[in-house]
Amino acid sequence: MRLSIAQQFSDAPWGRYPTDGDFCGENFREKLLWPALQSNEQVVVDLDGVEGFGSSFLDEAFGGIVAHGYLTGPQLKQKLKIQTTNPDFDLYVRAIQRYIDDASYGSKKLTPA
Amino acid sequence: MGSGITQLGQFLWHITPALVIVLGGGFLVNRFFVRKANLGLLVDRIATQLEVLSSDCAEYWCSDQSELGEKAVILEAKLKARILHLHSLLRVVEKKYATTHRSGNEFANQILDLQQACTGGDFEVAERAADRKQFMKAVTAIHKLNTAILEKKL
Repeated sequence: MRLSIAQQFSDAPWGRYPTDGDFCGENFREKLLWPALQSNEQVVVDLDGVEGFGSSFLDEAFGGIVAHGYLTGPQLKQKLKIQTTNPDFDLYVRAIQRYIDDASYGSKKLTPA
Repeated sequence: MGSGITQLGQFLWHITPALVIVLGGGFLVNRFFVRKANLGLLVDRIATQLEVLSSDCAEYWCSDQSELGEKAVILEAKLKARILHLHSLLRVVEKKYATTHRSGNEFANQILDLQQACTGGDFEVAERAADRKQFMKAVTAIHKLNTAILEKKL
């Protein structure tokens, strides 16, 4: 399955929590990424078309899958592929890998809004 | 006709050493001076961008979100865009002036640390309080990258 952040979520993703705005990392993770990971063997996330990302968004969206105990780092890396045609966005691809590696499994609990 | 070819041959015979010296000299000047000067200009540009980034980080991380108001949104956009621009400048340095053993990946970790420090933590969080610890992380990452890029110039 292919998930385009710009087309299916927002071309200007912003912030970490829903209190920061609708297009935050937590909403992306809970509404798009985690459901896609649950129902597909492989999920390709396309970064193209987005203006830019803050680390807070990327950490919450991708590292959050591990931190909330949905999948372990190796499981997530096996299922997830990050794609971009923009050579500058290579920075974000490496950042996502790092947030997944750095996240501590099950260290966070999601508090319902 | 035959003497014309002979004359041309003699002319080339005489001019070839001078041509080789001029072309070789041009190559050496470009290899060691122009190339170095261009790298210097690129490094200076990166250093300037890092200074501005440091100043924007100071303003952003040392103020509460409520103090900054709408300006926070502008600073957030500027920080993200400047880091992306820096990444793209560093890629040019890595591509054009790569050192043999780590070519193409020299600044990968530094720019990643910088991105994490400048736009991590409570970046873009609505109820953000001033965070001097995050500012310290950002400044440290900026200075590390600044040192690494200046080393490249020397």
